[in-house]
Amino acid sequence: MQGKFEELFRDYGALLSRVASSYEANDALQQELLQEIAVAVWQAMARFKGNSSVKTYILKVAHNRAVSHVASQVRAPHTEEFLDESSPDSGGRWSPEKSVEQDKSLERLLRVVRELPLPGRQVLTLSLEGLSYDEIAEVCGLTTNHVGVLLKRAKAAVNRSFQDDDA
Amino acid sequence: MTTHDDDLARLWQTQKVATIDTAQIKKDFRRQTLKQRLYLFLDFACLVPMVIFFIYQWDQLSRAAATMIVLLLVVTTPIFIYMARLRWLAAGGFHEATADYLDMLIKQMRNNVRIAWLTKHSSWTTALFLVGFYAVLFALGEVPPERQSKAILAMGVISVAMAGFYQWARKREARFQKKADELLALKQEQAHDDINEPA
Repeated sequence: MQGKFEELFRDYGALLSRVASSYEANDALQQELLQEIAVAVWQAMARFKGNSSVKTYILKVAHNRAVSHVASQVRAPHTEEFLDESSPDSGGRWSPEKSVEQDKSLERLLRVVRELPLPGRQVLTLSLEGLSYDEIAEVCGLTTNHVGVLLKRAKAAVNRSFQDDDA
Repeated sequence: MTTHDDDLARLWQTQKVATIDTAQIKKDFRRQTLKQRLYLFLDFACLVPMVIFFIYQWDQLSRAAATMIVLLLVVTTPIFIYMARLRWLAAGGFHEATADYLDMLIKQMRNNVRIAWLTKHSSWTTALFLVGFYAVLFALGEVPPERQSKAILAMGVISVAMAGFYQWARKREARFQKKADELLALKQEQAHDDINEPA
């Protein structure tokens, strides 16, 4: 039990953190949400029957917990900057200019993700985590066709945002 | 996935990730489980003193007192069972698909509003019942003089406690109602997204 607990959060901690960041921009609230998600995931693992992959199951639980969290907060999306431009580069391989550019792109992506309506946000972030249409459909309780439509629309919103900012 | 999609996914993965405090998770997990069980336990524990009193004092109770207690038990038992069921439903469900989960969450919040509403009204009805109970006993001359001051004191203490309980439940009801409204707004956001789906 103890080993499984550590293993679960070692393997999926980063994934859960990204789910939290797609709902919360504020650092403190993001950390709070991450903890809430982690507790919910650990609670839900007792009911995991192996009908899907652990990753799909965890993402389903994480998004559900995040929805509860969103409802308990003020619904206006936070527009604070997620990354400080002076924050250290996580990659290390990039030049400072490239790192700043990447940070800005990421910040833009996070901003548009958080502004998307809930279904589009979930579909897009699940896709960015590498889930297939079928897996996304299972997590969200949608048809694969609907997933395709929502994903197309969400990506169009991201592209529009990038183009607007470049213009 | 196209190259652009791959770039987007790569960019997504470069996010700074926060660390999970595993010690805190264990603590929160235990606290939450304990809280859920404690609430369930308290719902039933409220009935225990009344039942014990009823069993052991049956012979000494006057007909009026026994009738009122039986009446109270008949009214409150189904309410407690209903509340326990609502709490049980509110305890799980994270493994549902998100669309179903949102519906379930709205239902849970409405259930929580109902629990808080019931708690709120049970506080003043309990106080009222107690006052009525002793009023009848006083009127029938069934309270011996040496127990009269104790009875009045008990009524006062319980009335004050129930007033506090009422305020607490009222605040909870408002909080859950607000949350239910927020969830409904999220649901409508989802419905709006569906309506705008291109043919």
